[in-house]
Amino acid sequence: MGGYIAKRVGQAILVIWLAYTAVFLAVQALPNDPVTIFLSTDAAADPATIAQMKAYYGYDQPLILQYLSQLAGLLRGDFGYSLSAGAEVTSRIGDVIGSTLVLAGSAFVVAVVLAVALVAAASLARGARLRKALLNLPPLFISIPVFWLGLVLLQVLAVQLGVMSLFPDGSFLSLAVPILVLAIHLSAPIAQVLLKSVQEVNAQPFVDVLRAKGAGESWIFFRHTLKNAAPAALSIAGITIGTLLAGSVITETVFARAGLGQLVLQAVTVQDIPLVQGLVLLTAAAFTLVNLLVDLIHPQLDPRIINANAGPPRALAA
Amino acid sequence: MRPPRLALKATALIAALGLSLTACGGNSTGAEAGTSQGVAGEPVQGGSFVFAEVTPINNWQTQAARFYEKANVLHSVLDRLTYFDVESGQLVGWIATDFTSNEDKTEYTFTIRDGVTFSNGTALDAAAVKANLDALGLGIEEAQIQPNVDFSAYESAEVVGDNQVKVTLKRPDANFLRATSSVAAGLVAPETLELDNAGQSAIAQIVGSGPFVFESEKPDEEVVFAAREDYAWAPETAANQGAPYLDELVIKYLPEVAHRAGAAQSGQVDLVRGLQPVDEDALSAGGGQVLAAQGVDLTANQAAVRIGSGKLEDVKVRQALQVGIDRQALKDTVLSDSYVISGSVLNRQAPGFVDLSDELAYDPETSKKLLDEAGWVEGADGIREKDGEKLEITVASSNNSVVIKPAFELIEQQWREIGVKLVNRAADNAFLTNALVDDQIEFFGTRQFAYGGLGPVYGPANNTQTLNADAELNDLFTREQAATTDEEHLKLIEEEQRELVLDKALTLVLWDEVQVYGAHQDAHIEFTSGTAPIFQGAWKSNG
Amino acid sequence: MSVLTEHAGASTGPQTPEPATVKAPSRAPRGVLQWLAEWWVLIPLALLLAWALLPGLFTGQDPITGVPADKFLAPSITHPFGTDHLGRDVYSRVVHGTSQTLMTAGLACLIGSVVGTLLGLVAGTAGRFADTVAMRLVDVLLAVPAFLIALILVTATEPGPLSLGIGVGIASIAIFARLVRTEVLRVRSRDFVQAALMSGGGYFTVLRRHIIPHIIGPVLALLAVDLGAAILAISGLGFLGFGAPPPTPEWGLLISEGRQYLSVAWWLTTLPGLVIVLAVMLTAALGRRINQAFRF
Repeated sequence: MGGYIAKRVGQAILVIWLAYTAVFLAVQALPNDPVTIFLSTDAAADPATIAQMKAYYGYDQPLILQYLSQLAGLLRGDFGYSLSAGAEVTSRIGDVIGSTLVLAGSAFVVAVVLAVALVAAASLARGARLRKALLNLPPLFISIPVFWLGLVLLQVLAVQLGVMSLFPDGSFLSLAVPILVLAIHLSAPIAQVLLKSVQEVNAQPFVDVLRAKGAGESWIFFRHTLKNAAPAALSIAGITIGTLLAGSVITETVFARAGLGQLVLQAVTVQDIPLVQGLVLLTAAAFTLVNLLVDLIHPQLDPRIINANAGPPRALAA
Repeated sequence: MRPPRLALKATALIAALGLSLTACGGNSTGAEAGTSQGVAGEPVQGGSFVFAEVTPINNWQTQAARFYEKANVLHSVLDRLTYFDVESGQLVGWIATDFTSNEDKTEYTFTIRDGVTFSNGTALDAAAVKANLDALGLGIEEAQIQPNVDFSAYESAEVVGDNQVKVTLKRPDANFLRATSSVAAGLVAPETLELDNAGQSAIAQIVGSGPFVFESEKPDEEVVFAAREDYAWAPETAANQGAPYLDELVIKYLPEVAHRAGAAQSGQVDLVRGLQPVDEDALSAGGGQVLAAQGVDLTANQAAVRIGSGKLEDVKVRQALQVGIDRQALKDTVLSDSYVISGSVLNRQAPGFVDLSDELAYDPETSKKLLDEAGWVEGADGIREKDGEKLEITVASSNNSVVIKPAFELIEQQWREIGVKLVNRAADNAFLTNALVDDQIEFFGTRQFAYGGLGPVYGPANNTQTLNADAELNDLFTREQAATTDEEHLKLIEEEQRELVLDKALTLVLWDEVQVYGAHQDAHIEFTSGTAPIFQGAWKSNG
Repeated sequence: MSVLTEHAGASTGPQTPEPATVKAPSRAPRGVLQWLAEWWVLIPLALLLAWALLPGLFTGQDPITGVPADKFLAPSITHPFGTDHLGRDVYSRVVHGTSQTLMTAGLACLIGSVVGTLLGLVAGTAGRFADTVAMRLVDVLLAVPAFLIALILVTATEPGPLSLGIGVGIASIAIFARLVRTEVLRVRSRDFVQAALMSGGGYFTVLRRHIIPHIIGPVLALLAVDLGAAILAISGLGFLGFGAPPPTPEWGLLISEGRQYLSVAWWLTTLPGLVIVLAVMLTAALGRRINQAFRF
């Protein structure tokens, strides 16, 4: 097990490094450097000023040197300086990360609750019609554009009814509505995966045995089916990180909330490359960390996993 | 999506609320920009005033305050040497009680008001002013802060006597004085100038002498300022010569255009910038105020022309496009009565404005004739071409103006009539980021602060508008800046406008800059010539 | 924006091994009614395709030139979806926008499925080293937020079907690769594959004859779902200001442009919004239907 963990951690670091490097290369495709862009927002700057500032921030160095000095900086905890924000990348990210963690974290929890409730309701529903209606909810949830739902809710609740603040002022609705909008979107895939594995568990003989023993449907569902179906749903948690961030960009934009999503958007719009890379590093780290955790927890929930995924497959040959 | 009954109920509720508030709140006539008698009634003391800007600002470095988001707030935090009074069209004293220049406009002497202090207690004296002028004119290299673009002629400043500062310029600059009234020339405490780049970019660390003082912030969401009780050095012409009536100023952000009218009407904000034309009537009808702040300090909204791609190199093409715009249709379709169609590149109220409306009249036939003459002939798809190249041109602009994108959408339709294809990238900030420095992008949709002449805006040194150096124009700019009498100065400014708009057609002017604000019915507020709200004189009927 | 979730939801079959009863897609003759009951979803989708190919058949109004005097008209018989701020017929813009929308989303799906499938095949069949490399590559693709890739690409070039399609498509490579790899691993453990290998079948022969036919179903199902996801992702980018420039009618852009007028003209966002919701749900339904048809 120890070796397995070490290997997984090594892989995680490799993935983060590759992601960072890939984005470093990708942003080189952008037509201008951050200094030129920053200095040109007000009015055309003196070429000498541009040159001086480029030298100061190291943008005049050859690409490979820029890359290496950035990597060296990362090891020292120096993520670089965001010209557009006039702040260290770390402090700029630190300013808003809490807001996103609250939004995304709560949305994830609500999404899981929503998904479980939906699947429970669908599994236990008596009428076929009701069941069918419930089963159609996840595809509907996922088809509604997040920004559209958010805008409509704001228009109705905040503008027409006046029961909600247009600003993130800490009131219940101003936090609950964005969370719900994001959670609805997020709950759909979780519900779909959960439903699938619930159906598979239900097809297994032990459920029939339980039923024959006279166990109630809801008791079977919550004590056995859900427990057995959970691992599959857990595996999707890792993937939702990306969705959460993407959803956060839109939710934060619609609800005028501070957060990482907004920051990503700003960073790309003004081509603040150090900020873009800092954010990529952060999301890549979050993604790999969550997946690492999922991989480590998964076998605890479902001992079969470690055998099934014993290693990469051999080449296709007899 | 919007059950009618629900809407009705809400409207009734709001209306009832509005009535009851009007009853106890007194008169609430719309405050007009720049007038000092626009507001009726006695100011009420106290209260917290919420102002919603369109997008958050993080980098507050004061010399680069040419964005409204920044200038609108910093106007109430930083004082300047001078103030432009729209009514008289004159520069009046503020921190400088008196200002004079030598005959050839190369030396300016400011007499600094006594008893002014920064909010940290440091005296705003001649030495502090010199430190600020040096920072504006020379930049602060240790903090990676570049000079202010309006101070390009600056050479040095020295303290004379105990309360005077003498500025020496490298070359004559008739516009220098006016530039000292700009928010970007706001005076900060010497301690602020000592900070590094991050320090000078943080609103929490910027210390000014203005009527409001930083109190707290939630990055990207809110900044709170407290009134400065001992403030007693407002511009000479300000109605309120003392401390602000308000206790507190709260800046928030409302990026979604559709919510702004509702926010002002319901009182979630007292003032919001960026009200769109279609919401104006609804807000007025609902009891709110629609306030149009005329941008006298700014050029008209324009499509500044770049000729780098070659397609607009021939002046005839540019002139064809100039009269190929139906400005009245623009106003009728995508603008409102708050907007005034441009008569030149300068604002109608700006000193030196010359009315070119007749020459700018919509005339598609002339457009077609000029394009024919320039050798652009209609192709199979209706778009003109020359030497196998289509007359397809692109416009870039920021998304801060609520009307710029629809305006260019309509212009796109109008130009299709004369065989010109416009690629409308207006309101695409990511595109603008690169387009700003790309002379292949034919148009930059913009309006710029213009303090006096047009040299600083279209001149060779700092020109991001046209990105080109036209020798004749540059010569004209130099002469204008070197003008020694007002009469001569204004005459040259007039000539600049004719050159830019007609003879060279390097700017396609659209409508005079105006910022339309939505205000709650209890808010009383006026605006500067740069469209910034004057919070120092603002008050709320309900306190 | 929802590329990832949408995919995750679609990677249904392979989550846990299913009973190994192999059943080829049924070829039994059926009545038209029965076919309709199962494949009704194709009819509205065919209508969408017709909108894309022959928009002129469905609307006679000009999608890009408006009549300014007719701006902000509520839905009526002449303008079923109302008119916008320039007096353009919104229904006509929706119909004419179908081709741009489907082209962009289609390109995204094509890139995601082709590259993803190849990666998955390589991972599942070309040995441990290839598998490790391919799967780490997939991890990297997942680790960089999908929309960030799209944003950078659109900013570096220009927003159009090509850049948007590639940007959104790259994001879905990982999901296809994972799906295909799992399917391949499942199939190759079957007796008939083992038998084919034993009897001396070459790598490509086995791949072609035995593996690819069995992964086509899940890939097609995912493809249908991915199309809907791509439509949503593109509309999300349009909302954030990274869409094709006007006057291009494109579904996502219609909503994001109309949102500015939400308080005065609800139809500008709502009706195109419903079209998107319906289209995405239809592709999802098609995905489920394909999955059922190819289940084995």
